[in-house]
Amino acid sequence: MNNPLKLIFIIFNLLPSVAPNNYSQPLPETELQMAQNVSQIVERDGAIALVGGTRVTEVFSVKGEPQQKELTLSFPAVRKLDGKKGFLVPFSFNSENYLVDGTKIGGNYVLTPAGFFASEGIAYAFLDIYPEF
Amino acid sequence: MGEHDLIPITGLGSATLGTKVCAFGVESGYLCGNVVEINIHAGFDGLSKVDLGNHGFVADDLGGPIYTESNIADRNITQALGYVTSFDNTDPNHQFVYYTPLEKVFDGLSIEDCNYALLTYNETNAQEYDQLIAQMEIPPKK
Repeated sequence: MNNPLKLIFIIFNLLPSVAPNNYSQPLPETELQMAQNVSQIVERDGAIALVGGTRVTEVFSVKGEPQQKELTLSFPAVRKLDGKKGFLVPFSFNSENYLVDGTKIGGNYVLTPAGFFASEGIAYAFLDIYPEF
Repeated sequence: MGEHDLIPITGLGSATLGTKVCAFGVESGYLCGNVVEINIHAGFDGLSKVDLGNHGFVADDLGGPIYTESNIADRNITQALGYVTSFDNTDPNHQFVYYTPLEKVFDGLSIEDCNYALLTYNETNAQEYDQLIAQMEIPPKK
């Protein structure tokens, strides 16, 4: 290690990221933005991208009959435990089927906030997004 | 705002009475208004109420993001505030939207050691933007 600049660079990269507060975590490697008027899955740089503000369809069942409801995808979030990325989504019915432009974007793990009751209005959930998005 | 405009989210913001906030819903689009009440009950506790004037939201807009917008060096950036929880369009000249602050959502989602956080645009850019905001808040020398 005879190059001091290289050493400084390595030390800098070993420093842990410091979040501005407990509720936000920067995502260095991904452009994470909020869209206006987006209702379709878009492709950027060859990758499928989801952004906040996207129209999302929640599919659920009422007495065995399939129903659906249009809602708006909200802010992106990360699960600190494993770094899993997802979105905050409206949760008004017991559904794990969230579709954007006819494509299911996730739903294997939808966690509703503790103390929120859908009967009182709209609740919120963290939606696991499939890895291809 | 045109179609497919993207606005970077640089952090979690907060709003007080009179703060101008903006919101987006897939049906009604992009609407802005001023915070007129905070920490009220409207289905849920702890909601904030925004007067959108003569344009309001509809059911399909529920869940949409609410944020503050800043313009720095000709670039729009946002700070996340909450999500559209309910609306009241009874008065056509003062249509209201209620939002739940994101802190409440993240508190509610946190179970023991499993916590969630807002994702922001980019650490480097966010710090850069924060510095720019801080510089803007310093009063000019007299």
